[in-house]
Amino acid sequence: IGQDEKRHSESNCVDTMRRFALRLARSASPSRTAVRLYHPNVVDHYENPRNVGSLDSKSKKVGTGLVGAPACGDVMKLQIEIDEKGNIEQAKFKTFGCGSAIASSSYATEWLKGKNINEAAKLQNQEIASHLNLPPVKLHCSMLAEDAVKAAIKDYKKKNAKEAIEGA
Amino acid sequence: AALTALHGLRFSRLLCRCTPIVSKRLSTLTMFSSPSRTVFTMKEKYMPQRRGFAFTVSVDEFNAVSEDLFDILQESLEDDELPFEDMEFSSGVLSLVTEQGVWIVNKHSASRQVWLSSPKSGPSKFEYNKETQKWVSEREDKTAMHDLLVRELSELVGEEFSFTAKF
Repeated sequence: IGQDEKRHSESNCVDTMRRFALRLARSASPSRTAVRLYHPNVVDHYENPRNVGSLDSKSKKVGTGLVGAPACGDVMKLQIEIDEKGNIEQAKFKTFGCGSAIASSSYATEWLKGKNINEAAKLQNQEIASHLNLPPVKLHCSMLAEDAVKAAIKDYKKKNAKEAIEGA
Repeated sequence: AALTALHGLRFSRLLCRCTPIVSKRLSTLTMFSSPSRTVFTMKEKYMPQRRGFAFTVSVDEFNAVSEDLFDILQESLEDDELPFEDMEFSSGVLSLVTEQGVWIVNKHSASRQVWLSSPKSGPSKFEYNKETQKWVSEREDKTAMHDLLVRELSELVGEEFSFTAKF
């Protein structure tokens, strides 16, 4: 992502944080409990799951990223299938975790589809967090989704590097 | 005893008929699906990634050093003259509400880390390094938590910010 886009998404993040902070500050009275609702984008990914599933992890075209741990509260498995040109044909995910974690990985698979593998490595957690309007406590979910994508790309490259060595 | 077993069997069969989404083995729920959604449970074979040195500290050590850390953070941020809207610490979560966003620092015992969520630098996870006695990021750049927070809070406050102690 270019510098400008990154700054734009950061400022969106800041605006969201500011709104959240003000809301939190205003609702600090003991009689009213602050209720934070999931953003519609997050709910959408939860209610209408897309790209849920698995790809053949043994295939050379598929990269698998598995991050997190149940004890930590989130586990994400993200798989990408890449064609000869290096474009991401398919992306699937399976996530164990909160609504924000599910939405983050789901959005990541959506974002990845059609991109070239080199472009895909540039996915930033700010992009996910700003699209889903994640509150501060859930920024870690977007980071985990970014880690999952990077792990999947790394796995694919490792598989294909091995093949290149064997073939040569 | 045989009679109660029979009753039990009949009851479970009845349950299965009434609620088709419940799997046959009622004691261990492994996979069930509803018409619209498939849910799965993960086996506990995935441990927290031990790539850093989070697990070089014991549980007791971790509790002690994280308590010290939060004491320092609270002390340093309690000052009324600082331009924060609110600073709260409860059940291991410290939240700092400011005009520029919300900083959240929380203790994460399962991975023996302290997690930070910053409106400036986003999410980071810190581990305690016993040798240097500092909290450093789990990522490769090994950013020091103290340096990062000093930088961000100084920018926020408008002048050089310092904590009551190093960490």
